[in-house]
Amino acid sequence: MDRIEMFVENLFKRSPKTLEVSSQKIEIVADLREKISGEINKGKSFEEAFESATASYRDMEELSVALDKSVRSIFINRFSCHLAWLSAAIGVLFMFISFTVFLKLNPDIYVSIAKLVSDPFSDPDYLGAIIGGTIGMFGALTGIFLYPIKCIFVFRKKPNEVQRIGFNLKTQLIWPFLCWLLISVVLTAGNLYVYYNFDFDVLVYPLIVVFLATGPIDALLFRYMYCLPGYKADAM
Amino acid sequence: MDTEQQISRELIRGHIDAIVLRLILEKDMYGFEIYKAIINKTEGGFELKEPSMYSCLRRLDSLGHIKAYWGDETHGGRRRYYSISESGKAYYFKIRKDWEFARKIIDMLI
Repeated sequence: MDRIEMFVENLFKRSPKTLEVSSQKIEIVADLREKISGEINKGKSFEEAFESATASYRDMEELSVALDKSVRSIFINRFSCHLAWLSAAIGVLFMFISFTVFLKLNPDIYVSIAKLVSDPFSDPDYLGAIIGGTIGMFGALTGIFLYPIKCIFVFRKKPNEVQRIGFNLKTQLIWPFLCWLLISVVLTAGNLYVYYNFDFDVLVYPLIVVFLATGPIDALLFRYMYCLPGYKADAM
Repeated sequence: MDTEQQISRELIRGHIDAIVLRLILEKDMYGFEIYKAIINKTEGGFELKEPSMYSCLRRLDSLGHIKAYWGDETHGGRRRYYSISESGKAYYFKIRKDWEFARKIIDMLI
């Protein structure tokens, strides 16, 4: 990170790490570089040019207020909310398919999994539930990957309208996936505990809960994490 | 800067939206280009501070009066260009009409 980038980074050190703030940083860095090189061309040293170019950035309050407003609008904009619920809806839809189209339904999915491990084809009812569960899983995965798929799609269609802040595998794919996995494990373990200890189908279709809970979380997580990798990377 | 100059600058600052929209109406521009255009057009008489300019751009963008898009520069930093939208044009012509009316009245009175 060079001095100009450090200066801009410091200007926004208290700002939230959002797409809008990242965009603003990229914009200011590029503009400052041009301003400084103009000053240097007039005969100033880098130090003089830097001091002169950055002097007007002493009062950032007005811009911070403007950015804060846009940050709020990013987080509540209709598209990301719709996207979050859409991913949940896809999970539910696939679960619905899994439990209705496959009429040989057995809500006791855990017994089905145990049966699959021991003897998968011994009972067609269990097999039906397992197939249904698998389809449900695809539904959940679709929900998880909906946002990045959308990003890639929009980027290809309208490259100039999408800000390329870089694709970071760790923050944009692995962490959300691990997060989803953790939520799934916790919810499934809770359901298993309730089922085997109290013999009570408190959540008859526990995976519905998993998908309902994780769909919106994943989508919002992606929305947030998409802003995180910083503004240096330039490849998606 | 004397008080008179300061008052004039404050007066101009009240019309930043119109100034920026007028510039973008001619052609799509990026932030520093707008900054330079204002200095050049006023022959150095008025300098719009960058934070004020960026906050104006953010405000106009959030109102839908301008649209931001990224340039495809291959060298140097990426530029965020701004283009005026239909609502921006309508807004510009409205504030320009308001300004012309106010100027006419003030000319009559002063």
